Amino acid sequence: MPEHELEKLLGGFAADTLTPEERDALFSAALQDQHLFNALADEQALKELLTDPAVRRRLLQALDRHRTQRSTAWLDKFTSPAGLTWAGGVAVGVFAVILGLNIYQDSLRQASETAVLEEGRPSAPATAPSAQAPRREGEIPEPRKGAPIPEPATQDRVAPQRQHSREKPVEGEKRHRLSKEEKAAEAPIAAPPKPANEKATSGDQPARPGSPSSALSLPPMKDIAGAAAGVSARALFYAKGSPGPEASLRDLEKHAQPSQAPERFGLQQTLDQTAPAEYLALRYAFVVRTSEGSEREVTAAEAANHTGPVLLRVETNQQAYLQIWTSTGEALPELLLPSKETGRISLKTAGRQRQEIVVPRERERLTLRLARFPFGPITRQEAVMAGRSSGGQITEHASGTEEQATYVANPDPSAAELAVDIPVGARALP
Amino acid sequence: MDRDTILTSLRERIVAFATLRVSRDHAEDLAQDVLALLHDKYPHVVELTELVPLAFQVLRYKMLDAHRKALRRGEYNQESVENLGMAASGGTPETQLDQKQRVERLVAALSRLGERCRELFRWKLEGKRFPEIQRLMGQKSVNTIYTWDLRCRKQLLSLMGGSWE
Repeated sequence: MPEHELEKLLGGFAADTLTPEERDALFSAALQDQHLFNALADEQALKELLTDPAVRRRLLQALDRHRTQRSTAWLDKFTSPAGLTWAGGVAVGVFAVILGLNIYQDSLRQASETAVLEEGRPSAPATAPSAQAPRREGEIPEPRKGAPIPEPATQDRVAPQRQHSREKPVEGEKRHRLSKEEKAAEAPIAAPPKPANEKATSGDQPARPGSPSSALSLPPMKDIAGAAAGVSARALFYAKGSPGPEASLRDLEKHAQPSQAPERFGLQQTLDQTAPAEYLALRYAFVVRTSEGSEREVTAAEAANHTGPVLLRVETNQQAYLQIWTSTGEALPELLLPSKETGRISLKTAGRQRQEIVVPRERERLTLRLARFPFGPITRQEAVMAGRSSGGQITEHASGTEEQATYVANPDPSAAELAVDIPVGARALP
Repeated sequence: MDRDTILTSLRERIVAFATLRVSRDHAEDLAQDVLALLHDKYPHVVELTELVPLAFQVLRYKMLDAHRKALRRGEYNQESVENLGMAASGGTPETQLDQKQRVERLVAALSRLGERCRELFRWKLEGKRFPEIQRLMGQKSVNTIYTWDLRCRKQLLSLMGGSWE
């Protein structure tokens, strides 16, 4: 310790708590420093006082008593009415904040759920009386509104996503002209082979709208005859858009097939119970480009025999999450859509939004998975298991001159996922 | 430092100290009395750390004696300080009253100190040394305790009215 700081030891001198080294340093300095000597001489009075054990005891008791009083005073503050009021107020405040936060979180959760439901509901209907009326045999079908204009072949594996829009009359007219030309050129196409649990529409039906984007174009009665005993996957697919969010499927069916009311009674009964439900459904079709540059939906067999590139077009009836896996033989499947480059495992797709991929010829099958919620990460082995279709879902092939598509839906409104296994390449041949 | 050197230095410091309170001649006499007592009564005390505190103690009694004589307005107490007990145990009723009043003033002053100063003073009363107090107060340097103690001592002295008497 520097000599000029030895004054700091004065407190220890009075209490007689200096170490031998401190005492030596202090007294040596005091003999050389008059100021320090004077301070020590003055401190002697206190030292004398503190030397008395009785005085020390008294001072210690006073200090302890003061400390106890401070503690009890602090406690008294809380035990006093004012303190209790204050503490109670704080407790009520904390409780109110916690309760408020819980309510706020609940409301947020409900709002998000409502938003999800609202997003899943159809947009405002653009009904046209003529579209709801049953079509006569041979009548030229209504153009597929919003159908894509034929585009040159793309090198991309996944074609650009195109959103159908019923508010595009120009595109509808183009499609109308194309369909007339195609109708004259096309011969009736055999329906694809049907799995045992699938219901197929008749292939000799005249061309009908069949547009995935046209919610007004419900299938003719013959098309869904195979589904008469149950629910039509195609009807479920289009159920959302046409009559509006509040309309029931029964209304849809009634508008579409008024003459078949007795036969549809069972369906009506069923649909009445599930009318406000949001069914998960998808539509897929193989698409090839004609020599004229237009696109045409073909059967799976035609697609297998086609030498050019074949696209698989997938549409959903609502906003959902899509996965397309591809596999060969016993090999584990690989995720085809979304592509690896996106870094995602779920492709969010809007209702009636087309997703197209080039069908890999070297593969034997494709597996579509559709869910209301994003898929979680799964192993490829799990993907094999998950790709197996559930027993509740129904499949319906719609064949016509303009439409060669397959509809898959689950009549259970609580179903959250669909899975479809699609043979491609040689396996698709009958 | 030998005993004679220490006593020489002590005499010089005692004269300078006493001169601030009494006359120069009286201060010389006071220093002489202190040294005479140390020489006659405590010849065996040779260590600096024992001789200096003893000198302060004797000096204080000599000055108190002089103070009492002044209070008696010339009725000088002829009893020699050498005959008084050095430990001052017990003491006269006057001394006891004086000590009692000083203790009460000290208690009152202590209660007005801050928490840290009271804690520091309490540990000193319990006989804790500065390095121990440093550990008890969780300080890294003992210099911090020195500084705190100096400030607390000055504050306490101020609360006592500037004097320990």
